[in-house]
Amino acid sequence: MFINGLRVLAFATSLLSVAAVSVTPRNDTLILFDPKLLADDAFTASQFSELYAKLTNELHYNVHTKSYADLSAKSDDAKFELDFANHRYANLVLLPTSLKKLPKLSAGKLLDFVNDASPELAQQANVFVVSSPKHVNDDFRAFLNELGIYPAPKNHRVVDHFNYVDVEASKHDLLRLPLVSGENLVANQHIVRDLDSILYEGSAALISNSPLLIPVVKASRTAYTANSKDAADVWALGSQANLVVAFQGAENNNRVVWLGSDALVGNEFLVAETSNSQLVTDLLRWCFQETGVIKLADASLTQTHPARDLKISDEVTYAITLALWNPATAAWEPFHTTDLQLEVIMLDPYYRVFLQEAEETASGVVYSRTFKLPDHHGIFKFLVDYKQAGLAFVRDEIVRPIRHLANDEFPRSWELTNAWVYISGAVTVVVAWFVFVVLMLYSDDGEKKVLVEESKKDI
Amino acid sequence: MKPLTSVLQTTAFALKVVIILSIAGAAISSRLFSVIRFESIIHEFDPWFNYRATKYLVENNFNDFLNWFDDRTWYPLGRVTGGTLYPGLMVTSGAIWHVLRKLSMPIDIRNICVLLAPAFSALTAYATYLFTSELKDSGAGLLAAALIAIAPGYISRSVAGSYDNEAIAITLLMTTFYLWIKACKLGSIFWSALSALCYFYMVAAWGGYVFITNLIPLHIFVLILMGRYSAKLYVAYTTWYALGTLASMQIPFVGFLPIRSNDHMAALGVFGLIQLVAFGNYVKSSTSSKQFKTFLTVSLVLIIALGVSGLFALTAAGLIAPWTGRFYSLWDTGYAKLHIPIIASVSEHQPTAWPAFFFDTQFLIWLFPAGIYLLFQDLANEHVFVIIYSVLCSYFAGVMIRLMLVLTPVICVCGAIAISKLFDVYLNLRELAATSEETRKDRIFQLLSRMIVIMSFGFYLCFFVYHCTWVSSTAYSSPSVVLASRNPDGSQAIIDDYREAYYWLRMNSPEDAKIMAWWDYGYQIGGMADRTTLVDNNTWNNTHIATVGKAMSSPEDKAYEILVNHDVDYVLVIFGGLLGYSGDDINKFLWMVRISEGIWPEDISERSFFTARGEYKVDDQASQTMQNSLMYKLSYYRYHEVFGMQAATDRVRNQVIPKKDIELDSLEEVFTSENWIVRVYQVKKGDNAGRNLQEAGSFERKAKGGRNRSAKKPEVGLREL
Amino acid sequence: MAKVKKSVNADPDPVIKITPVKTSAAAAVTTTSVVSFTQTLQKTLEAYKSSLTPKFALIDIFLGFLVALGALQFVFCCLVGNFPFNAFLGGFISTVGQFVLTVSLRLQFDDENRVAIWKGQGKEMKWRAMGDYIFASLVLHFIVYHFIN
Repeated sequence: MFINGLRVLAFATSLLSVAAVSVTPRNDTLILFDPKLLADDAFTASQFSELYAKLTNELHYNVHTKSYADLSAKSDDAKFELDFANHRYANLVLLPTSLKKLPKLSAGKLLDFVNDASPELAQQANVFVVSSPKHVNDDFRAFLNELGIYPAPKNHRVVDHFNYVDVEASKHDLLRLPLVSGENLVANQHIVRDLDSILYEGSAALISNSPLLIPVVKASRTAYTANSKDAADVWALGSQANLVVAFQGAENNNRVVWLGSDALVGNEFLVAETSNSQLVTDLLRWCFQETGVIKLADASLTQTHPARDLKISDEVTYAITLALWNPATAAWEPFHTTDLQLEVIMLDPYYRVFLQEAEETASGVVYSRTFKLPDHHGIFKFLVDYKQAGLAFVRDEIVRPIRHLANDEFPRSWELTNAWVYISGAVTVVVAWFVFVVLMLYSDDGEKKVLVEESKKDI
Repeated sequence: MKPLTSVLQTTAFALKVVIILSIAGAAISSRLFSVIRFESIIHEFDPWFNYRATKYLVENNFNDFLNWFDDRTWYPLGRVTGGTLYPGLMVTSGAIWHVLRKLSMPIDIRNICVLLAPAFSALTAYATYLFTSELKDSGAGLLAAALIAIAPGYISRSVAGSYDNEAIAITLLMTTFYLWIKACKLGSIFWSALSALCYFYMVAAWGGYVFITNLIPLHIFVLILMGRYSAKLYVAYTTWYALGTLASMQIPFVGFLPIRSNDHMAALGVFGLIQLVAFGNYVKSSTSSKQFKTFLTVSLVLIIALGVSGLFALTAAGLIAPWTGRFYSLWDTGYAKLHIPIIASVSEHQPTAWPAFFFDTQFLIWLFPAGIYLLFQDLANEHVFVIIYSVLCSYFAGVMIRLMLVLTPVICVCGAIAISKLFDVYLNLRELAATSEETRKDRIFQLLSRMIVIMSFGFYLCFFVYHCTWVSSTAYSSPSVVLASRNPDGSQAIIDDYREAYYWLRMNSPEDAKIMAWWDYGYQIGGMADRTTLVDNNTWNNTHIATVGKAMSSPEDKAYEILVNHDVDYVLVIFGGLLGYSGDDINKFLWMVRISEGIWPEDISERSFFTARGEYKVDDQASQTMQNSLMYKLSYYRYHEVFGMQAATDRVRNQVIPKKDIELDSLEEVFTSENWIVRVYQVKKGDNAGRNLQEAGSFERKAKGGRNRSAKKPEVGLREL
Repeated sequence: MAKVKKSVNADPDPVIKITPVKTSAAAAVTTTSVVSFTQTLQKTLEAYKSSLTPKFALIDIFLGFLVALGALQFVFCCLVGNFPFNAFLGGFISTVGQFVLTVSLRLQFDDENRVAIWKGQGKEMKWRAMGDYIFASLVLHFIVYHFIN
């Protein structure tokens, strides 16, 4: 009955929220859960009910749920495979599972899901993966390994003898992490706001040096991640252990967030601590492409003196608009930054300059710069490649040929003082020649006499 | 001498016109084999660039053409094409196109380009007729015209479809020489000025103009040494030099070379020399011979000292450019192979083999020395010119097979003179009729000997025609874009893989796609597929070519870096193993290695591509470097699928390719032509998950296999942030 | 060697110079040849002066003017530097080319030459030569102006 009551409550609140805010449900989200790990039969009443409520009521996603059991090797759910391959679901939440084999969600399939969604077709593929120390599925682990996240094996837990919450029979693995920006909360306003402390109980992961990974929450320096059964089997030490890791795809900006603890998304922590709730909300919003989404638009290269094509040392103005998506108003907003760079490249960069804010419109900020083109002809790329941790990776490229000077674009001879001597020489030659020819043709001195004598000789 | 009646004169003139027209007809028709057999298509490689340039010229105006910056070649460097080509050929075709349009006969520019060479070969025949008539008489002239019209040495570079600079260059060569001889004979400023203008046209048309630049001064120099200086020579040479040099500097590609480079210094030297000789001649006419001798000795000593020291000083100061590499390679045939691999790798630059002389000129090759000997007997100024031309050109034709083309006209001229003199003697029926004292027996012997000689030479001439036609038909009429072979049942099989692949590229790739292929195919890709290429046959930038060579010979991951750096979208490879087509990239591979080794000796080493025993192998004995190189992988990717269970044989190298699958991670195959000659691969974008493509590829392959159950601690470095 | 001109030589005893000196054969030869050289030149100058007609004088004045102009341009180039090179070449070659063409014209105008070298040509050859000369000069000037840009 209590469950039914909750259901009615959830329904009512969703109706209310719809009526009040009238925001249309957003991208299709699929939550996959393992029924064996639920505290209740129904998902919406289990220990993940707060998560469910958060997704539907607070964030207004169109949420579907599915059980892993339906996807096991024996069942035959062709519709799911099709839906999955066609990216019907933009967002995926993978809760921990005890199943060993999930052929429909193998590492290759998950990787393809993230890699193949193309932004041109307006497809998104964001995955929110939750691991639990007791259940580390091999497929998910292989998938995460390919991204560069190496979660600890089964039964490894994060233990901290200095920051634990003292409960009875505590193995010091229920931690209250003080989130100190720069120490174990990566200072990144785009993903998670500043919080004071969160509760954590779970596992950790090592991550590679890939620039696409952003560790959001790291363990404290005093923690270590070890096998709860064999303390000598240490996976990671100190803050090399990452508790929450974010990943953003290089080509299509699809995001994957990994949490090392299923308790983080469980009702207990979400209800007990506001900062936990805030953390999960922020992570979900970032993961499902609400926050931190920027775009470049209207890149243009205009000449100060318009001509048919670009030539060397021309003065040009490069302008580009940068905008940030605001999920509340569902519109693009101006985005201010001071480190937007333009590169002018032909095999090697010829210029690398900062763009300055020129004007601010309702839907973006225009950055521009006026400069002279390089003195070398060739086919140049005007590249803006803006990659900041937490923001979408945006890149805009204009490729233009820059030609050499035409034969009449050099300084002309009459403009060069040196050449005046030679020009006057040449002109003098022509004038003198003309005079000479006239004189030759029309002066008849001595010639006639000689001719007359000769003709006399001939006779 | 009986005066010719006007009827005879008219008949002779009419006969000459008819003969010249039929020679022109023969010249044009013997070059049309490939048009009749295949179609009207541009052949080979270089003509495709000329064709593209001509299309640009007729679509835009001349000014745009002169300042053309081509952004579809040599990506991303581009090429200042307007300033680095010889515009004569394109301007000629463009002018003809415009004129025909004005006459309301709009002929497609492609047909004009294809048929330009035969048309100009008819003009060459006429120019040779004029030239030889100046040397001997119009009979020899007609013979020379007939010989040059069908000589295979000239046909090889002027068939219909061979739209290359030589098509008009030889015409202009003979015309310039004709005008020069006329100028020397008449001592007229007008003819010399015309000769200079024709020389300017020649400079605009072909880089081989340097030959004329050195031949004419050499002619004057030899005449001066022979003591034959006269005012006519002064008039002819100085006018030619002044106007010709000034005019030749108007071509952007030539620029200031006539003043600066050593190739042209001979002309300048002779110019100065002739001024001095003229002055000396003037002095000689005013003084006694003994005084003049001392004067001559003193002045000679002074001048030689000044001249040599001046030349050395200027070269040392860098004002005069030293000899270029191509020039060195003419004198020392081993030079290019060591120092400039690109020049050595061109097949046209190889030394000429003995049979090539006979193949290209048949019986004229033994008439050639006879003709020169007969010229020695006359030895007027113009004969000295032909002798010098023959000697000089014989040397160069022996060094580089491409220069066989320049030797062919003079062989025809000398051969014609020899035959003409022979016929003068043996066909002299007047002489035969005039001798009345002989007995009947002697007369029969005379008649018999004449008949024998005339019939045998008549036979030689007829056989020459058969030989030339056969050679043109079989050897020099293949478009080389389309290959022809025979099916087992004897019918002709056309192998059109090149055009199939280029057309596929044209239709299925984005317009701004960049193609990387070896430089041989650059012009064809630009012309037929209309796509941007990285390197092409112009080979002006050795480092860029070496970059392509490095990409082809490096392992896949290093090659991928180069491909991404140069924005390459497609890689094109020629593979002849299935057909037995031996002009493929694996055979050229060692040149790629050598050229890139010249720039990056620490990355590429030619030795590592051979087996331990020093053999060049592609089967399972091939060295690791060879098997990992991009070229090997792209050529043999999926090759054994054609053979199924049988051994995959490479029919060119006659070796068996190992059966294991070649793994290609950074590129994917998008097109293979029907006979596997052209293979096109697309460069994959970077991995979305940030892995390098090798790891991504191996993950794909493992994912198909088992699964990894154990969780090993990965070897990752400390992450700082 | 009886052709010593009295008017030329200031030497009191020219005969002695011609006989070989016993001391140094080489020095004698050198001095002999140098004197002979200058003698030859002076002789040529006299022959030249005697054969000068007004037309030839006109031609020679024009030639001298061209040489002076060319030398002036060359000196200027050496002093100031050869930028712009094409203008220098244009100006210089216009003088050199015109000089050469005019000398060719002079050679054709010389009656001795006409008979000896251009055999069998009539007097209209002069007019033809003039016509050729004008044609070539026009071509020269056209190219020069194109070159100077």
